[in-house]
Amino acid sequence: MSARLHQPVSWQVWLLAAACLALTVALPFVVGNYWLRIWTTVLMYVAIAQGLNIIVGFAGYHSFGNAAFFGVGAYATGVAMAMGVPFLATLPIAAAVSALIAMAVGYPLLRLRGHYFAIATVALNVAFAELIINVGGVTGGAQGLPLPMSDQSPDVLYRKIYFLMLASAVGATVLVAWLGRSRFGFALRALKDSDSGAQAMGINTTRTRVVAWMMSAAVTGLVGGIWAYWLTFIEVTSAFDIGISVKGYIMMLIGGLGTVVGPVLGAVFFELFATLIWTRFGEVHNLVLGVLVCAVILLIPQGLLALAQSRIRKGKGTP
Amino acid sequence: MSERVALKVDGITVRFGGVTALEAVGFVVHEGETVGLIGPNGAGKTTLLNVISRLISPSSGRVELFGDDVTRAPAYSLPRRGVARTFQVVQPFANLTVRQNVAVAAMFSGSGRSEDDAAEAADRAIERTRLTAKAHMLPAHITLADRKRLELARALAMQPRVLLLDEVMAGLNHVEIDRIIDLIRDIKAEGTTIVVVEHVMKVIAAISDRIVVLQFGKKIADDSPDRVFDDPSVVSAYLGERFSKRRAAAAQGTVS
Amino acid sequence: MLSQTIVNGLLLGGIYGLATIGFSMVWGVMGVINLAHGAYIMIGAYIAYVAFERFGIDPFLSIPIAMAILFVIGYGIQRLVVNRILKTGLLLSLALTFGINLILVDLVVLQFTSDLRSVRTGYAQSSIEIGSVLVPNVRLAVCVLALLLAWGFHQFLARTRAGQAILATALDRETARLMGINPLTVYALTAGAGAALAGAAGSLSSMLFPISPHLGNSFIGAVFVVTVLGGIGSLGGAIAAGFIYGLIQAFASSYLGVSTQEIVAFVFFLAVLVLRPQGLFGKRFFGENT
Repeated sequence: MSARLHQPVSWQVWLLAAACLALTVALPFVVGNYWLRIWTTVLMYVAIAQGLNIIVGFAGYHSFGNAAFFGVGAYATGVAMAMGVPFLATLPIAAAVSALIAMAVGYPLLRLRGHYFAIATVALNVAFAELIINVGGVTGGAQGLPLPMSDQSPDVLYRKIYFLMLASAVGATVLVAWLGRSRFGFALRALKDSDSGAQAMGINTTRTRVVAWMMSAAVTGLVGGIWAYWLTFIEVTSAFDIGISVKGYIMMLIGGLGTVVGPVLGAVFFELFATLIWTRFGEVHNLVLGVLVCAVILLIPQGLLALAQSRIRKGKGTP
Repeated sequence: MSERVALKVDGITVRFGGVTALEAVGFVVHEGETVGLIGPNGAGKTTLLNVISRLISPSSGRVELFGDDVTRAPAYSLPRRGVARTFQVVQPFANLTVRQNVAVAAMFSGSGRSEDDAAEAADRAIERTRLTAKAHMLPAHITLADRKRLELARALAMQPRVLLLDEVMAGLNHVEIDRIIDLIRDIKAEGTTIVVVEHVMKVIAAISDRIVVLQFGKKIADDSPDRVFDDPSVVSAYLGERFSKRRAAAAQGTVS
Repeated sequence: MLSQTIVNGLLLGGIYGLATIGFSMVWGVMGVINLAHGAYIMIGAYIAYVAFERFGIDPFLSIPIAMAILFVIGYGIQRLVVNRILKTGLLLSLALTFGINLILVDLVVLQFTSDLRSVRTGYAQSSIEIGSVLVPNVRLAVCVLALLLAWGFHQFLARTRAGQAILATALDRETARLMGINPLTVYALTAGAGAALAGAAGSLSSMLFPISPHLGNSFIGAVFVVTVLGGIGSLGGAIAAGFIYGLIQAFASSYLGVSTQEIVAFVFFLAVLVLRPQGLFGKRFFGENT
């Protein structure tokens, strides 16, 4: 028996991944601004979905309000830049602040089970938004917060932002992949299946959960910060929009949670479709989107990845 | 069996609301000793194991492990201290394979083993419990007997100094029971301290150095197997007349 | 100011309670968090609007109409759509009801546009004065009616076969099935009843708040909080928690400023969750299935 505890990745998958990465890197040099913008958003959601994957897919804690950290990251970058910190330096700050907040709220909230935890995160999401409004001051409060504009040309700037999002998406995906084969990842999967069983095996389940949420928050906050710089103006309703969480959730679901590639597939599929629908259907786009979501849930609940995998298996002739 | 005390339970009382599950229960287990814990259903045996393995806290009393007070220690600190337990209702990690299940047990006890070391320790434990053929299956796809073995394998992979077994035999047939008795004998021969909760008296008789009997949350006997089996209060509380008669007949059988 | 604040809070609390009962029951009985519940409230409001503008029906009288229509919608959606994914658990039902919400809201936007509408009855501005406290008539009537409807639903649950079937299924689905109760029918019934109550709340709201397709979204936050505060699946809890929620908002608004309403409510809610997750009144009574 080989020493490895996880399934090794076949060379075909590596090749496919490399090819996709190459395409993604080449993209900004080939497409126009419109599609660049779309793909930047796709990559942002890949990171968000992977962030959710860590706390939901692996740890089994349904964080419906994870967008709270997106907003935290966005405002961390915004406020830091308003205080003179250069943009790139604000990104680790955004990630760190998000992680610290996750740690602070994680200890009390992660003791809650199932539904209760989910609702608590929603309350958190709303509470943070309200907090910004009430604090005002340097955060801009209800008026919103403008960010310093870059003096680079738009083409260069948008490419830079694209690559930042790409790096985040790749980083988040690598993180999830690492979870699938690391001690920490096994601890998470164990506690998801049985918290008392995991404790009986020597796992400090509370701390493990909190660290998982910190990772999730850091990833989400990071892209929140990039997003803020991209938009050059942020305000609470869009920064803390619970729709961000919900979209991320659906992407993770559609692609297949607990997997490495699932959220990537889900983000690409959902965001591209959403954009397509928006351009084609304009007015009724929410309607079509809603129908699409329902259709996917009803017809392929196991997620796209599992569907693709079973198709591939059927194609190869194995049961 | 050394003179050193591995586990000391002292005056443990557990109350759930109005119900007293355990009252002032105390006993000592020496290193290398095997103690059988018996009694009718509801006597508090599993509750006592839960207190020792720290899933619940007692209302009063002390638990000492090799001299250290672990009465309020967190449950996850026990594997590090050398304690492993099996669960009466087996709860393996449903989404991990047999091998991964056992490896997780190996990973987080003791000195934090790397993934590869844990895999090796897991393989050894799996071999001992004869699960090698099923190592890559999910717990849901193996038989109950195998799942019990998985519980044991997980406990073994932790290389415990003290092993708590909670009704491992429940639901198994005679052949399987004999096999597991052999395995436990091996573990015992390695010097592991064992506390066994069981209803199958054959097992208790085969491996116990001493037996502690609980009834309605109180200890009613704590002695060698022979004396406990002949104790009239134990017979009336739990073992039953038939058991005594069979014991007498078996004794006569060997004599004549 | 104190007594006015209390009265404001209580009056508003009645409708929060009514708006929540259906959501809480659905969650308690079948473990489904119905994100489309807000849309049901919103549709109830639009029904009252249309009834008033087109047919001159007083909003109080359009309550039964709204309830009937929404019962059918809720029952239908549950039976045809949600029942299919029940076995798969929390996650999928959430995504599904999110999709349904999108559809319902957009349908209303298409029909009515996003413009704000309101229902202005002749008596809308009148109020009673009790001491130094001003009690708007409409708010009083709304609150009273909300309580009446809640009581009516309680009687339905306690005294009718259908109601008992719902309670039985909430407590123990398998045993209920063994007794000949078809859980799927019970779920559809519960969903229908929940939607009907939401519709009633919506009709009543039409007299208090401006009506827009996004009315539901602004309610759903409060509904979540009130559900958990009152204990998931608890009717009485929902009503009591509704009042508490209304009071908290009123006090925050009066003493800390209108903008603090939401955050004070949510902080309070988080505190309760952490300290007492079964809510202020919940007894883990209704099936915490999942």
